[in-house]
Amino acid sequence: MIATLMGDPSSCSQLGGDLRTRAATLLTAREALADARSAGSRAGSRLASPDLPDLPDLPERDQRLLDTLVDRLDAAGAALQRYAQELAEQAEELRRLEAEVSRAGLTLDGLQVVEPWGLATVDAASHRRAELPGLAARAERLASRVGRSRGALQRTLTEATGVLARAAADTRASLGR
Amino acid sequence: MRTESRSGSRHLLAAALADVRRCAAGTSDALLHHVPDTGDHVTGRIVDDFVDQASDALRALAESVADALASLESPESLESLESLDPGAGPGRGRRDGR
Repeated sequence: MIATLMGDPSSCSQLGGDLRTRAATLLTAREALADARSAGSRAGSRLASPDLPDLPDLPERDQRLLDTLVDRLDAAGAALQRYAQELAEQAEELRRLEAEVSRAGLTLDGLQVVEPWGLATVDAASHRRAELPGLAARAERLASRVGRSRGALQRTLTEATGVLARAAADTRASLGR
Repeated sequence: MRTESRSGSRHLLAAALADVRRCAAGTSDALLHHVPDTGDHVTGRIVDDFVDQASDALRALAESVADALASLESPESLESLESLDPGAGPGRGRRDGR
């Protein structure tokens, strides 16, 4: 059940780490491009000649796309790494909660603590009812933390997806594709 | 001399553009190999949408940079350089750059 509810933190962390590494590689490539452009500009101003063709450059919209990619890949990677960390902590909390729920003779249905079906002795039923509120409150707090983690990741990625879609569309429009 | 310096700058720029294109195309492919499990259907779909869009944006960048590279190495551009100094074309610079 923990795997179903909590997914796999390591696979989320791997994607996050890869996004950040690749954002850093793109940033290095962007800086090398800026260096090459300024070297070209210096040579151009020193050796200006109307007979020489201008050095072609990346259009501004492509530089914007490159900048957007660097920023958004890094931000999404960081959000996924945070999510993976929180997911691992929440999975651990769920394991502890599951064990205590089981000891109290109760069961977990998703992140809700419920009484199991079937007959119980008076003592067992009384014990369950005494334990249920505390365990249910813990399960609610955990569900709330899980919800917040998912919401934060969803907001970051949804915004990044929209920004990247617009930047890519601008670049493609300029290419006539 | 003038043409040679200008040619060197072109090679530097071409190498930088080629690096951006390679990096964008490689990242575009690599991102699609991840299979993250977020534990939630809605969150998983949002992650998938982001990865697809990031991959697409990287492809758009690679295509656009390929266009810039093509114009850098266009025959008109090379002829212009060769007419000023037949020995200073990009072909020579490429060999010199090794």
